[in-house]
This record gives sequence, structure tokens and C-alpha cells, in this order.
Amino acid sequence: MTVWHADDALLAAYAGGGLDQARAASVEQHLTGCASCRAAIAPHADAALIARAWAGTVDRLDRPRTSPFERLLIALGLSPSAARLATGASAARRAWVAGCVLVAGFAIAAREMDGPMALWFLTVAPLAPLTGVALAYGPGVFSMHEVVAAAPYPRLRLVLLRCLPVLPMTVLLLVVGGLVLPGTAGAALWLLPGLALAALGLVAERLVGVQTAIGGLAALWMGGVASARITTGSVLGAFSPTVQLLSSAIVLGAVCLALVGARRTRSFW
Amino acid sequence: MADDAALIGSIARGDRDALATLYSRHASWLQVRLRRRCVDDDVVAEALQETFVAAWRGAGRWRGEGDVGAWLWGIAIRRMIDLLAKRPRHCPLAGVPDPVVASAEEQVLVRVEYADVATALNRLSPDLVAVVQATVLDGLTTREAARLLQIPQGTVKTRMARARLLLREALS
Amino acid sequence: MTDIGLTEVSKSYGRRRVLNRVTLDVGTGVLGLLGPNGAGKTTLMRVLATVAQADAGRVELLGRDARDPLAQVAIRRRLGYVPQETGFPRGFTAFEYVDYVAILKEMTDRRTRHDEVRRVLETMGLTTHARRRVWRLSGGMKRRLMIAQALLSDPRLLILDEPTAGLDPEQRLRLRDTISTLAENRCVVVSTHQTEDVAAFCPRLVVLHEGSIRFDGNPQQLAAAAAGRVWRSEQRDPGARLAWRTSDGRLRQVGSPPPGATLVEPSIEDGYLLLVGSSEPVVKATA
Repeated sequence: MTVWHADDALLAAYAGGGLDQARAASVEQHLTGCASCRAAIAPHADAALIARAWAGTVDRLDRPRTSPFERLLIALGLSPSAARLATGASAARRAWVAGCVLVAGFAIAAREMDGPMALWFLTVAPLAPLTGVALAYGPGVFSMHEVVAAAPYPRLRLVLLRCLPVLPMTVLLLVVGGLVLPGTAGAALWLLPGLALAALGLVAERLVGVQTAIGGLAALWMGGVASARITTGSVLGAFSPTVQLLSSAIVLGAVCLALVGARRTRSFW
Repeated sequence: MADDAALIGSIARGDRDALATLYSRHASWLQVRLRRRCVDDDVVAEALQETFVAAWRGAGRWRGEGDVGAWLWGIAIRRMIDLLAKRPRHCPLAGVPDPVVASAEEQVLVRVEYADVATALNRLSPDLVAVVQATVLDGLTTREAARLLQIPQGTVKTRMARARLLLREALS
Repeated sequence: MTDIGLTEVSKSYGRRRVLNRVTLDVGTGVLGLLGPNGAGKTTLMRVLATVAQADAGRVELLGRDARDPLAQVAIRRRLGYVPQETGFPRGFTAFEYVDYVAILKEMTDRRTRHDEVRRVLETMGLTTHARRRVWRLSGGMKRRLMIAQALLSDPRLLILDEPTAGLDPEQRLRLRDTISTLAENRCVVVSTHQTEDVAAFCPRLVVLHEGSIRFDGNPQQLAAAAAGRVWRSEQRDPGARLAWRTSDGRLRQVGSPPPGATLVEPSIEDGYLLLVGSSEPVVKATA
């Protein structure tokens, strides 16, 4: 153990840059191993800079982890805080991944069997965006409902942000559908009814609550497909031009309502 | 009061207060030492910050060998090198001070038998001193020294060889 | 200054009327809202937090009409709310949870937002737990975390629904301290069903029963409401509203005087029991 310590004048000279190389090097070698001299040099350090660096350190450590999807949204131009709202509380993230895997598995199975399996796919696929909306409101997020309701953040914007994770699922389904169904036109058949169901789900959620809305709409859709099969003899009856037209009207209506609502009363939604 | 090694143990277990204590003990001298190598306060602050972020994340890997101060300095100087490399503009090195008249402290600090080394070192040109400081005193590799001083690796080697020659001549 | 102005506020769920012509003015300081379960406390708190809308009457918060959507946004910017049901998204750390609420409170700049998050966590003594997952925190810590989020952006109006529920005695004392300090320059409404809470830190208290305000005054006045109706006797009186055996072995009875009883000093609890106690005689016996 060293018994020699640098005195204050020497430390001041070192800190002020007024020491020749050899002695500065000597002081540095000493400081590396001497706790009491390290403490003694504190008055000669730049306190403001040290405080700033500490604030920066704490800030770095507290920064929440960002998920790949969150980073993707930021890269696409969404502000970091909005991306956080879109993905942060997706407690159902795991369920989401599981859902995607399931759809992919479904597609592979359908390719092997083709025919009836593809029709099943068409029947189930439109429910996916609706399920996505349900997950966006999943139990984890729903538990925060009261706190969210008392916050000034524009309601419509929040709802739309939370539905953003539905997009990758929709794209995946479209791709999978393209692989499964004969002809690309057939693959897109489910898209409009799917989006229409999701839009209806959003509206119904405000009126009857999320569980009832999702359950009711899913039952309605399955009923529609079943009756189409009975009356026209094919599931494809549920994807007739009339249904497609009606669906696009609903989607368009929802978008218009959203835009007008956003402009007139930001908080109504 | 817990010693530094115990603090590192607490930090590895996620104790934020232990990190604050470690910071209060080491930030000052690290700041002064970094500041002698780079006059840009922003770079120094960022290097300091990254050092303790790295300490927080790397505390679990610290094997308890050697001095915590030396470990921190090793992180700090390398972080600063990385930051300087990212900067488009050169960060001017802290100027080499005027020779100081030997004082009473020097008699204590630099023992009589090392006086010749000190004199020899002080006589070297600033460029050569910077290379000696980076490679010998800070323990950097040729590559790291080159990045710190913003000169090619070959130049580090030739300057180091020259410095070694001059020192040998001065001491013989 | 009036922060809360309620005029003849009513609200029903279906046929059940949960708030019945409530009129109330509140300014700076702590207001304790007391009432039995089902009295309409939570509904009133939700109306004050702009989460529920009144069916009739006027709700003015921070000088604005709470039913106007634009005014609502302005009110919410200066409002902190701790709901009774507290749920947390799974997977969030304490810091991430408060950070999420901070974004909802329109703090977009990350640096200032995180500084603010650290400040409120510090206020509630949660700094060392900031990086722990919410689901691993104890009940008391979760409660404090809820209060921490309500303190974001230094609100003028604080609505705390049962903040002391689930806290141990020491945490409850700390919370009283925190709330008293906060109330020095803001309006705080605290609902509770614990009379000792209001006695300890609410200079003003309101008793809500079956959707109506039954009492509005200070704790001493509530105790005084039971003056002349609290008795101590050796035997149980069948006509008493409430009776229980106290530590001295004698019976404390609220209601009409039992024969041979002596009148005793009433407490806040006695006044409260008289206000909300059912007309049927209820007997509680404690050893």
C-alpha cells in the first residue's frame, strides 16, 4: 500500500492541465490505485459535467426496451411515443405470434389437401382482423381502461394505434391466402369482409363492450357463411359481389366517421 | 462502507444505489483524466455516461480480479475512442503544458532515480508524448492508440519507435 | 377558488339510481368521501374523473363544463386519477407502466417525460423498484404505483378512489403524509370506507349514502351529530341501533338510551353509523 498521497496543489495543477507529461502520468498512475486521492480530486473536477453525465446514465438505464415491431413502426415514420402506445401494452404479444404461426401452419396443411381446406381458410380468415382488434383491447390493456379514459390523449388516435398490430396479421393472411387459393384474386376475397368486421368491432366495442362485440360479430359471420352454404351450396356465396360491396361501404363509412370525428371532437372517441 | 468490489456485486444484482455510490467515487477522477485527453466536453460527458452504463450491464461479468478503478478506466478510454471515431471532426488533444519548474512536489513524486526519465519524457515532442501516453501509460493497443490520436497505425508504430530511441539516448 | 362544482347531479344505471341530485363545491385541500359499499362513491369519483358522464345536472371541473368534449381534454390535462380497480398490463416494469401513462398524458419529449416519471416514482418511494415487473410488486407497491401515475404532470385535481385499500398501517401513515402535502396547493378528493382515514387527514368530509349526500362538514361536526345518542351500559338494549362490547367489558350502544345507561362522548364512527346505519337494529359483538 502506498503511504504517499498527492497534495491538493498537485491535484489542482493536474486537473487544470498545468503539469508536465511525466508528472501528470505519475499522478494518473497513482490515482488508478488510490481511493483517497480519487476522492480528493473531486473539487477540481467539472461538477456540472459530472451531474449531466449522471443524468444521462440514469436516462439510458431507464429507457424501456423496444420490440422489433416498435422499431419497425418508428422506422416507418411513427413517433417513438406513438409507437410505444401501439405496441407497448400489447400484453397479447405472445398470443399474437402464436396466431401467426397457427395461420402459417394452417396454410401449409391446406396446400397439402387443397379444395375444402382452402374454403375453410376463407371462412376463418375474415375473423382474423377482428381478433386482432380484440387482442389490441386484450385483458392486459383492458385493465388500464379507467386510467386511459381519464387521460387527455385523443381517443380515436389511440384506438387506431392499438389496431396497428393487426396489419402484419392481415398482410400475412393475404400472402398465405395467395399460396393456398387458386388464383390471386381468390386470396383477396376475405380481405374486405375481414376489415369490415374489424371496423364494426371497433364501433360495437364502444356500445356493448369488447367481449360481446367480438363474440357477437364472430357468431354473425359464421352464421352468414353457414346460411350461404345452405342457400347457394357453396361457402363462396358469403363472398359474393354484394357482400364485397357492402363490406367496402362499411369500411369507407368507418374511415369517414373516424376522420370527421377526429376533426370535430377529438375526445369523443 | 462497502468497498468497490462489493459495490460491483450489488450492481450486478440490480442495485441502483450502488451504481450511484460507484459513480460518486469514480466520476471525478475519470472526468479529469478523460478531459486531459480530449477538450470536447460533450465527448467527455458521453464517454463518462457510457462507462457507467457499461459498468451496470457488465457488472455481472466482472470476475473480481484487479482494481475497480483500473477496470473503469479501461472501459472509459475505449468508449471515448469509439466516440471520437464516430465524430466527423477531429477532437483536438489537450495541449501539452509548458515545462514546469521542478518543485518540492516533484522531489517527492518523481524519485531521484526516475528524475532522468521524467526529464527525458518532458523533452519529447508533443506528438511523441501522446503516443507514449496512449500505448505505455493507458495500455492501449496500437490500433486503439491510432483511433484515439486519429493517426494511422503505421504512424503510431514509427512514433513509438522514435520515442523509444530518444528516451534510450537520453538515459544512456 | 372552486375546482369542483356539482349542481343537482344524477346518474342511473338502468333503473337503479346511483347518484341522486348531488350538489357539491370543492376547493383546495383534502375532501374525504365516506360511504358504505354501493353508496355511489365510485360512480361519483368516476364522474369527477371525466370517465363517467352524469345523466342530469351540471358538472363543472376546474371551471369548465365536464360534458363538453373539448373542455374534457383541458380538464384531463390537469387531472390525476387513481381508479378503484387497478389493472396492469402484464410484462410492464413499474417504470414502463408510468411511462406509458405519461405518453397518454401527452408528454412526447422522451427526456423530460422520463425525468417526470422518475420524479413521481421517487415521490411514492418506488425508485428502487422502478425496473421490477409490475406483477412481481406487492399489493401496497402496486397501490403506490397507481398513485405515482396520478401525480404525473403535477395535476391541479387529484381523484383518489380508495387509495388506502390494501396498505399496511405504516404505508397508510406515509400515504396520509403524502396526500396532506399534495393537498397544500391542489384539490384532492379521497374516497374511503375507513373512518379513521378521514379523521386523520380530511379537514372536510362528505358522507354519501344511497346516492345522496347525507353529511357535509368537518369530522368534529360528524361526531357531534351523534351527541346524546351514544351510551354505555352493562346490558344489551334491544332497541339500540348498534351495540358492541368494548375493551372495558361494557357495551357501547348507539341509538335510544337503554335503561341505566350513561351518555358518552361520540366519535366520528358513531356519527357515521347513525347516518348510514340501516333502520333495523344491527348488533355487533366484539370481545
